[in-house]
Amino acid sequence: MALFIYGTATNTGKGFFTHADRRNFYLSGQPADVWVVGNNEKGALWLAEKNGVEKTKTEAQALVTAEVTAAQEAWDALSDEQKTMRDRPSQITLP
Amino acid sequence: MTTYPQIKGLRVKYLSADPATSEDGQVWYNSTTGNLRVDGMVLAAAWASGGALGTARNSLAGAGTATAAIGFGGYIPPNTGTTEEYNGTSWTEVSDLNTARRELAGFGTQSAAIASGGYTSPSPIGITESWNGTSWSEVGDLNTGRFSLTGFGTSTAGLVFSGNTPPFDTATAITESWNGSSWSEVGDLNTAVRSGAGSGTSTAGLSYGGISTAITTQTESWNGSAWTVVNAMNTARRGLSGSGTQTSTLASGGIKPALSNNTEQYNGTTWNTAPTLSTARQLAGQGGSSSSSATYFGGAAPSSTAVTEEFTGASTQTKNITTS
Repeated sequence: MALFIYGTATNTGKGFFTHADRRNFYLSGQPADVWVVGNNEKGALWLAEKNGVEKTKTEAQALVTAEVTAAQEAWDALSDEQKTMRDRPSQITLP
Repeated sequence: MTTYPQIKGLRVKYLSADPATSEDGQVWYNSTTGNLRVDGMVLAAAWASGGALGTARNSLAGAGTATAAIGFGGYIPPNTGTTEEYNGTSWTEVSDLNTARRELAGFGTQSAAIASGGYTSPSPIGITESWNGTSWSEVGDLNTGRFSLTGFGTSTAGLVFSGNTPPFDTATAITESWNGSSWSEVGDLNTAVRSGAGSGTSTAGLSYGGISTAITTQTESWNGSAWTVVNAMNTARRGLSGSGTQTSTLASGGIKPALSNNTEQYNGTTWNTAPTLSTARQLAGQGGSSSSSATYFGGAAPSSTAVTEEFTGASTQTKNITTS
């Protein structure tokens, strides 16, 4: 069985995930509103309750990669001076 | 069969209500609710989501506590003077900084804060502004204009240190003390650093993380006149945020060089790993009073985000004992 469930859901702020949620299952927020959730009953229920749209890992990775690529392109357009202020964003590989 | 009295040496008390005071591990029967109760069950520390910032941005400054925080300045892009206050549930926009900027230092409380230094294209600045709970007023400039600097203290007794001075990737060890109206240069850090974090008061503080010649774990302790190197963090990071006191600090996020969701707690002697943020990011704001209470907001993940997370440290609670 896969270790994680992948999906998109909009972070609605306070109460979107609670301290108890974080204690009960793996939860990781990624760019493009992608969430990686532990593949167990509580994790699946959380994603469903948040009106999450389940994605395959490949689909979720594509969304993340597209957003990071856009950030990289924005960094590439900065002046040399401003590029020294922060590193070029690195691509993210989902677990 | 072994019984509770044989193990514990005591019988389980039969009480009509939970005792007013109890010890960790104490067990009793509550005859009113019909529950077998135990005290001292550990509830692990964790981050939870908080209300989103009104303006997604990174490189902002934060001050105040977890439930009465203030975030100001930052980079949307462009640079902004946007100021928002957090009440533990949601953010409310208030009066902007007079000078929009990013990578500034901020300290104080929600009703009395200081914004100092930062970057306004094309150069670092030393402009300092004072917040009175309603509006920002320009006060005395830093002696050395710089960005990616850190500060802690109150609006009448503060400290800023470290930072980035021209040419652009040059870290500094300069430390300046704020007396409520002007800045005075005091003892330098042992190691020049930029994009680090700090917490504490003008007489008892900490500097940690950042980048000197490389991303660092170095931690230095301030005693009101000089810095001393103390035990290092576990994970080297720059662009991290921090809050708390010299003996109870929480350090969150950053970049190492991948975006970091690491959280560490400092107890006055050592750094200990704490539960991770849900969203890895750098250059966020943070408000908080100790290693067990903080709000971490905004940042670059890698684009500007409005996400807020709230940290609550481990605690103990009384629970029912069940067989399921």
